[in-house]
Amino acid sequence: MADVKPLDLGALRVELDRTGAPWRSVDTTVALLEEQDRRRLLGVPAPDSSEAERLITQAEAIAPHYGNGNGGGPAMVTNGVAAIGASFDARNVYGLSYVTPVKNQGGCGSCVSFGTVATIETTAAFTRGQPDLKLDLSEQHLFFVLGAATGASCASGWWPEHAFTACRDTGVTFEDYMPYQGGGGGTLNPDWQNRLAKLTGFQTLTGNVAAIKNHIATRGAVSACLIVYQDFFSYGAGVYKHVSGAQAGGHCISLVGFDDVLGCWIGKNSWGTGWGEQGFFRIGYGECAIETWRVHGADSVNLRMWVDALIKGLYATESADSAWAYLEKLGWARLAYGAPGANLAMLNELTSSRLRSQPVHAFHDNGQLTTTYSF
Amino acid sequence: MSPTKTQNRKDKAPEETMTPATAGGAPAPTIIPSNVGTLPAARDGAAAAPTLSPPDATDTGVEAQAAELGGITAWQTASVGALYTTNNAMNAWVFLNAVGWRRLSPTNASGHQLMLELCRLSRDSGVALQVDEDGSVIKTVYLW
Repeated sequence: MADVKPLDLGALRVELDRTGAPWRSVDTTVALLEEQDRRRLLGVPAPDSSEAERLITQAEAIAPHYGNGNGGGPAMVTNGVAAIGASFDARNVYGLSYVTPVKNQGGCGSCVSFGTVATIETTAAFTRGQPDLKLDLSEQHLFFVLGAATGASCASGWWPEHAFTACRDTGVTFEDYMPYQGGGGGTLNPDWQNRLAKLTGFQTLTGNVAAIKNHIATRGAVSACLIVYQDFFSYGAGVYKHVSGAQAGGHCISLVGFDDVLGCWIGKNSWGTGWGEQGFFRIGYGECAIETWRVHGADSVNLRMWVDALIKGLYATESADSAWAYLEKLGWARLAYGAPGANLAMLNELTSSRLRSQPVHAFHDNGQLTTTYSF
Repeated sequence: MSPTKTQNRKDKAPEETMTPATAGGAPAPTIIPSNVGTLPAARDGAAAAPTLSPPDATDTGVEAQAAELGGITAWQTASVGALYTTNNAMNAWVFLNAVGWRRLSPTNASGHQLMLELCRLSRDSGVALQVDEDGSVIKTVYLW
């Protein structure tokens, strides 16, 4: 892509007006960057031109065209998956948001790390039914430690499937254990394996629109890659469709919703809140190979961490070692059951905390409380 | 041996004797404190993991999940007025206020103790329990 022409905002706005202005171009924080700095944000190695053409053609073929993007077109084909709603937005599920705040990858091609982490954070909250989970995972750890082991760098970027594999096989620690710096370096907290999010598995959903929508509606989010054109940098609002400008590279984001009426996906980007709709964007079905290049979704997210939480509920059944506790902002966790009497002893302790409305200090290991303190 | 006293009702004779078939030969409580309620309909099954959410939880999906399980959609909610145990294995009973005596399932000693602990907390705090019972035998207990 060495011959890419820089962004021409004036020409773009003329073209948008000519095509009925399906979206609004503004001077985003990204559009105001130098061309070389903009392209540095695109951290998925772009396909060659013939492959890009094939992906785009395939995406356009499986999605209906919506003219000016103002609705009225047919719903997307959802063969094989029944009862997917016409719209879903993980930012507003019965008035609750399961999407974590928009971040900024800075001047580094680390979008794969951001798109993957954003997807995992949403899935962890959504699958637990916990909008207040507020999981904040470390893109720095994923990209500059786990990714670097398989060749990731700011200049080269990375592949989403490698990121998901690392999150499944090793796990990614929390932001406070290795804060993002926008470059290499930083110190990984030596206790990182006790503050970890780990996938039980992940799915490759590339090209299967029904499966993508179903995964978003049941898991909250997927990661996806798109071929970025120059006009995307100046996206300010509306349903994005490529209007003008050459291809600039490949980019990874998180899809957190869809809308069949508007014919679009709802994406979460990692270019800060000064770009797009407060960091989010809507992109038309079939645009920029967003469905057909690389789409992945997490099955579920195991969390290993110390927590301080109020006990909001307790549960037991007639079965052995069947006691559970409902931790505020985290949900149900089974009490330890690895040794005779442990389950009952922990329940005795937690009933005391519950009675006094005092938080418990507990180690949560993949849905089980293995250690608890009540003070 | 059966309970011989009823809290706050020492001056009154037992109103009714309950002889649940599930007692299995072990003594059952015979004194009913007050306000005997009608027996809830028996239901099958006890989930291995909790499926309900606290009443004030922001979670909106788990109840629907519970409904999908089928059969476990209605729960008895009551505070605990009294407890009863005897010199028999797994023979703890709980008096649900406005409902009556219910035996804790004797299926497993561990589960029996765990449910009794939650009933004790309800008795001490006045916090209501949410229970799933089958034929007047409590098989699942939630405490919010």
